[in-house]
Amino acid sequence: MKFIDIYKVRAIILLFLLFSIIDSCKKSFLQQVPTDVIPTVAFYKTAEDLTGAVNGAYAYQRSIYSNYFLYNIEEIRSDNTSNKLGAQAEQRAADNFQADQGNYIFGNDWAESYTCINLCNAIINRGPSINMDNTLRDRLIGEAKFIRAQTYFCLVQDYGGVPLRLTESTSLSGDNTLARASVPDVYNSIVGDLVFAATALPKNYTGSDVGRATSGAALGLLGKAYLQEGKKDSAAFYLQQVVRSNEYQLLPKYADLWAPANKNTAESLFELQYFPPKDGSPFWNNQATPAVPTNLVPGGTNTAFPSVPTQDLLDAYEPGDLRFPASVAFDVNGRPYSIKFRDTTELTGGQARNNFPILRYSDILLSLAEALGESTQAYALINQVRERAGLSDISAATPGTFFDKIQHERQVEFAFECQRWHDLLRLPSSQAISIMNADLARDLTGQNISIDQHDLLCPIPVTETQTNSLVVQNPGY
Amino acid sequence: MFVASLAKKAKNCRSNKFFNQNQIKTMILTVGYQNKSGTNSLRAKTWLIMKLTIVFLLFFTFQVGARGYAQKVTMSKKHALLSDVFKAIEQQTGFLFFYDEALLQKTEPIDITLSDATLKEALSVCLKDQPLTYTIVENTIVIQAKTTFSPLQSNLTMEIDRYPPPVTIHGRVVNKRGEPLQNVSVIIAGTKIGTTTNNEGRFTLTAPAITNLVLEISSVGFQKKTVKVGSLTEINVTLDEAVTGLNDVVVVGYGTQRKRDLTGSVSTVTNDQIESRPVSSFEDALAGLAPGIDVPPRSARPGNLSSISIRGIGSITAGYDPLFVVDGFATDAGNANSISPLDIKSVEILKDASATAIYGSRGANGVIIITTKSGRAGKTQLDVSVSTGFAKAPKNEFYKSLNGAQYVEWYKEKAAFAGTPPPNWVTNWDGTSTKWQDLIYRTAPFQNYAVSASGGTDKLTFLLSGNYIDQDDILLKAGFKKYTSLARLEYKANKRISLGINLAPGYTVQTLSAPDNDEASLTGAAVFLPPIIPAYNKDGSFSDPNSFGVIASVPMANPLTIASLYKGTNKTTYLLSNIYAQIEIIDGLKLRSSFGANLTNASDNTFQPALNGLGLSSATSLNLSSAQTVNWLNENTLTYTKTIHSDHKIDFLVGYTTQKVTSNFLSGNANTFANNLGQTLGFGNTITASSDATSNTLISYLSRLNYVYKDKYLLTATIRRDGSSRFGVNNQYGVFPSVALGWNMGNESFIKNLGFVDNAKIRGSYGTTGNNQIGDFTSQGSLTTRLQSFGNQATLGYVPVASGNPNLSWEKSLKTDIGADIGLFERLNIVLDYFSNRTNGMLLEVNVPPSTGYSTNLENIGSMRNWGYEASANLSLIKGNDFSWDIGFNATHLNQKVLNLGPNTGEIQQFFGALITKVGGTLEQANANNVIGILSQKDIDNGIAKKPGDIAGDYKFQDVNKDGIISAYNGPDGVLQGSNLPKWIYGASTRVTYKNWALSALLQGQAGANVFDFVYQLYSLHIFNWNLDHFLYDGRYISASDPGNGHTPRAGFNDVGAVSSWEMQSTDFLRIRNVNLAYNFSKKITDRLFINGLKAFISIENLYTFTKFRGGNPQAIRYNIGGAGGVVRLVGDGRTLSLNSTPTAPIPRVFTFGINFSL
Repeated sequence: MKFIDIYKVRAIILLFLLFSIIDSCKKSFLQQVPTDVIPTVAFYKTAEDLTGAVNGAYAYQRSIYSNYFLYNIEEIRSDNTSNKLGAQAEQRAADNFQADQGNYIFGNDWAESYTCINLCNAIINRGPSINMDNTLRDRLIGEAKFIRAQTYFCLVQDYGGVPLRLTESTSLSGDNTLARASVPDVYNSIVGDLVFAATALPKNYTGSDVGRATSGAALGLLGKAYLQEGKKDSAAFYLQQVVRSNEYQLLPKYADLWAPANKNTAESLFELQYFPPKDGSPFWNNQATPAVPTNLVPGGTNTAFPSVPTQDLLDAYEPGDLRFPASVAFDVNGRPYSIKFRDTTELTGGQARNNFPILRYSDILLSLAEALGESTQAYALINQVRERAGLSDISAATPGTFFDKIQHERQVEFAFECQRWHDLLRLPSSQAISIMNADLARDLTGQNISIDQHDLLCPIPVTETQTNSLVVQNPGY
Repeated sequence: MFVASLAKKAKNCRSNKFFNQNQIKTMILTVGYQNKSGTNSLRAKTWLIMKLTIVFLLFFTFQVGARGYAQKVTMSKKHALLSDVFKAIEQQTGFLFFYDEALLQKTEPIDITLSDATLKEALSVCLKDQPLTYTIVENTIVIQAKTTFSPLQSNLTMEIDRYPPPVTIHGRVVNKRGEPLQNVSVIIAGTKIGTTTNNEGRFTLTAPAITNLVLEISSVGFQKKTVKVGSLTEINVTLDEAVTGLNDVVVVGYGTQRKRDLTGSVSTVTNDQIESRPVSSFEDALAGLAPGIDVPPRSARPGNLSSISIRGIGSITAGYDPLFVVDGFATDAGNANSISPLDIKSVEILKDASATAIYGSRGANGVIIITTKSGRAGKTQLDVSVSTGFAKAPKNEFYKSLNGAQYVEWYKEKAAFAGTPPPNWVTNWDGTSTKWQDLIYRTAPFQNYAVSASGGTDKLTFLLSGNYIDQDDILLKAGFKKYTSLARLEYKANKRISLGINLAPGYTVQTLSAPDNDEASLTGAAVFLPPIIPAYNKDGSFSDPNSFGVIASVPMANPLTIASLYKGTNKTTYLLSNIYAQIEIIDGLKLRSSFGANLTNASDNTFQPALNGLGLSSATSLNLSSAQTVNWLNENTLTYTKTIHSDHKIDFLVGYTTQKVTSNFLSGNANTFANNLGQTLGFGNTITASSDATSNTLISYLSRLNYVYKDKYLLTATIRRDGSSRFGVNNQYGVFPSVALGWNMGNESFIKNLGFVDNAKIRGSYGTTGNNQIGDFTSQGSLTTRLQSFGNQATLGYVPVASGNPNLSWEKSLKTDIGADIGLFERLNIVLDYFSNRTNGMLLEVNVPPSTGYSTNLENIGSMRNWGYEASANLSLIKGNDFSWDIGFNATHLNQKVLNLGPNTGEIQQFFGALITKVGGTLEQANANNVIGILSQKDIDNGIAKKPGDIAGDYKFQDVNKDGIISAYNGPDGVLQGSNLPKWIYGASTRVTYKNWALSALLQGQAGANVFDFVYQLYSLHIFNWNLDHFLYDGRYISASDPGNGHTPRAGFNDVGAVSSWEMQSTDFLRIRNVNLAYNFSKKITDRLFINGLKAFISIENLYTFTKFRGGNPQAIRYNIGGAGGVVRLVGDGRTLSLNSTPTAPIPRVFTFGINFSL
């Protein structure tokens, strides 16, 4: 029995030791923290975290454009360009108003926009509880609000009233439905965000912050939002502030805007920032046609989503318009293509140096002119832009309505810049429809495609309508 | 047991009037024998009974009469203990002494000198001055106290020398593989005289010199054998494993159990079913051996893992790998396969809740337990196994590509249909007809060398084993080498404490000669390259296929060039290590603690040369990667085993375990090398690097109760509580219980009385297990980085990856199993099982409104059910000493039904609706347009629905919704094409032995699956002028007057990129998996060679496959296995399908010759 007792005791001690050793580390044992991703629970704790998240929001905002879904909707769908060479069926369908609610162009544009909005929401919601410098916090939240407003601004123009999500989605288990807000409610949110941003953001940045949203960008976008909403007085008020700030001016030469090295110029209020080799722009690669000599596109991989300028656009340029050679070129087959985002030094596909303009000073001038309505002051603003283009001044005596003249000027000034579709939407809808039908008839000869009122809004993607029972589809889809 | 039976017999003796002389004598002899080797305590305890019995028995024995003995004794001892003297006499005469030790303790040491004395004289001298007397009964000498009254007193004078001398029989018992068998019972037939073998399998038996002496040799788990002794004094016996195997011990989770006490569904595959097969890992040999397990080889490439599933696939999003447990250590398939097949003692496949619930959150997909061989005490035994052979690609399983003439004819017709002149290469064909497939395969040598040594003492046993396998691939320049070793040491410090260590280092090198997928693979290039292109240039160098103007659009490389320039090696180092200590605290209560680590280091190196038209890339590229995994495990279990009143057997287990797995991954890539000389990153441009790291932890509490009542009624209850870092914080712990009942009807008298039922057990189990293969951090919300630049300076942005789901949990599998084990006529064994596994809380990506910022959320929301039947039967058709014939059969019938895919999800579509999983159906059914024949001009004139552009001779499709239009496959005219999972998997085996010869065969097959073969997508891409298969040539539509067989379309048919039913094919096959002929050399020969055993064998693996599959490996396709990455293919509407559509290499036929011997 002695023998047994000794070992019993020893064994129990051993057992106890083993269990206690393991128990001591047990509490943290099941809390494994990933190192290949940043765990959300550990993030949003410092000013650096918040800055990083804001940088991420810029990157997301940029990918809405880079991935070409938005470009397909806002530029290619307009009468400026057309999806041809090698384009996929659904891209063509989106371009030609044949798309249904299952078309992935809309689905992806929608999803990317809201991914960006959700990150902005996280920054805006979580920013206030971070212990950090208040000025920097306000600036960062202001940047997030600017990006959120800009994204909602695109959504509301393309889809009408959309679900207005202003808080971060932290858990997806449970009810995720949310009805569409009215168009004025969406604009209210945009205005609120931009007003905040206009006060919280600095007028300009230096060094490695150049390219972030400024108070001028916020004011300019605010003016454009009001203009789009039809509130011309408010639009004029905020656009005037941009002009009076004396922060911006037109570059002397239109072509200089597109030199790859000319970024964040005096004319730029806000642009998407690209910085190759890893962080370059895909626009040149996407817009050059396959027949462009390879010495111009050394990567030579340019067949993905070419958007070909339409005859409508080519005809819109007046003789002698300096903007024409800076915007359009013809390949060896005589096919036109866009050269605004050309970067002949680009070695691999999708890595051009050019930034992509979201808001330029010429836009401020033309928008302000439009907001002011036909007036000497308005023509003076328009003529500033025309003069730079090497064209003669226009006045009330020039044939055409004031609005037509503005529209004409905008079409050629902002070709390939995702402006045309939204400009058309400010026209009386019958006029927008007839412009588009004329273009479609010419571009798609014999296909007998025409649009009606319902085509002025995109379909709410099926991915949303199927999962969000409160969302009502736009009429006609 | 012994005591009890003896007492019982004694009682019988008293009550039975007819005393059987032999029986009584026998009993005494048995007692005598036991005393020799038995324990002291036995002697003391049995003495009372003995005394009584002896008095009785001797009385009767007396009447037999005395016989003489001629055994002589010679000895000289001083001051010797009487017990030592007796021992010496025992040794010299073979007579055994029987006495009470208490008697001897009263005696004085004696001085004794004897020379050639008779036994009688010797005994007289021994007992001269002692208070003892003796009696001789047969060959046992009974020592008694002199004072005891005995009627036998006068017997002392009998003339014992008249007896014939007893004979001593020596022998050795081995198993089929020549390995010694310990503790085998050797008994003289009709008596209880017997002994057991020692650890070298040897026995010595002294027996009366009776003519017709027959030995009965038996051991648990082996077939009993009877041997006529005749004039032999040296007997060598080989025992065959019992068909019944009722007393077999089966390895279960955290312990072992007798098969007869088992309530769960467990299949065992033993080493003799695996060794002698030319395989590099155990799972290659597993197919067809056990019901319920499917072992499809996804690739014929040696060194690649199969994709094992047990009782169907019960998950959509999570993995379906079973849990692999090597010698108690829970690990993964890679580590399990690193063990040499020759080192494996048994593989247990745990299938139902009773067996798997003890593994809790990892048991849902079944458990495969691998037990390696361990050391045996005794003389060191050295086993050597050498086999060598070669593998060949079976030509009948090649893709039946067109030859030059057929190819030219087909493309000529294609041009004619298109109304274009035939291409130059058709009109100028020079008769070249290259059989590309013949060029990429070769005769690939196979070698396997293994040496193992085992031995030790009662205290310390060891096993050391080394193994080298070199298996070349049938594809040019590829192969697999595997170096493994195993070291097991066990030290028994004393009766209660033992310690041990297991180490299994391994190293494997897989060499690849081409990318794994697409037309740049050797098989892809060989199948699709036009036969009219020569393989070689005039100067003998490899041709460039693109220089002949035949191949359009997608450049292709000569497979010979690919093989000569492409370099891929995957090197993996494994180390499985485990130390343990076991303490028996009190009798039956054992505490076992083990700590182990499982280290894996895999490094891959792929250099893809600058090869114009390699398909994937025209630029050189180098990919390096390295992955380290450390898996450590601490287990502490306490078991208590107790038999109460012989009727109640209790086996209770509690345990606590912790496990942590961490992995690190590092990869580097460079491309555009200046030449193919420098092949490290530094020689390339655009060097990129990436790394990854992950970890998971598991804390478990487990318990099991096995209770057996009267060997008839069985209960197993298990419960495990698992806490895992993988699960969401709201659901970190899960409990997995199971209960099982069994009834050994065979032990009921009404069955026993039938006489022919060896055993009959019915059993049922129910319980819950989990599937934790959900990814390490899936439940956690996370962010990753994105580049963003400001002011021409790159900076990092952080963006959300996943919102996380704090409720995320394991998938639950509710398992029901009802089974029966039946043994009849000592010949037939049947195991039947019905099973049903219902997966609840199945992980699914539930679509959420994209306006939340996310498109899906992983939730435990779906359910599905796999159910079916398993049957296996083993029959000993003929059982003889010289000739025996066994046959075995097993089959599994599998059903699957998806029950719930959550809200918003009527169906899950993959590849743009080419594969559909929907409620009520099975996983991933192909969705295709039904081909209902070939379009005729009459059809077209009648305005039959057709695809735009289709003409007479194209496929005719079913207009399902009769709207006059053939929609795309994912439109209204798409029809689901049935299950891609085999409904039946089966295996059959037979083994015939005749004298020293043994011939065995194994068949394996599956049936009932219909797969969408992506390779056919490529046949429809004749727009690239690729080669086609014969089924698109033979009987094709040529013209209205020659419409062919009615189901083969015209040359140049229009079905590019569509998904149509002609691309479906059945994967039914029946394969002669292995044929093995072995010869065991007789002892005469082995003795002359001074070795213990020698066996030679010839083995043919995959001798022949009966299948209608049109080429390649019918088991290669599993849609959700995208491992090596998909290939981009066009779908009709311009989008791309991303999937693996590479033609596969057939499973090779391997011929080997081998010898095994032991020293």
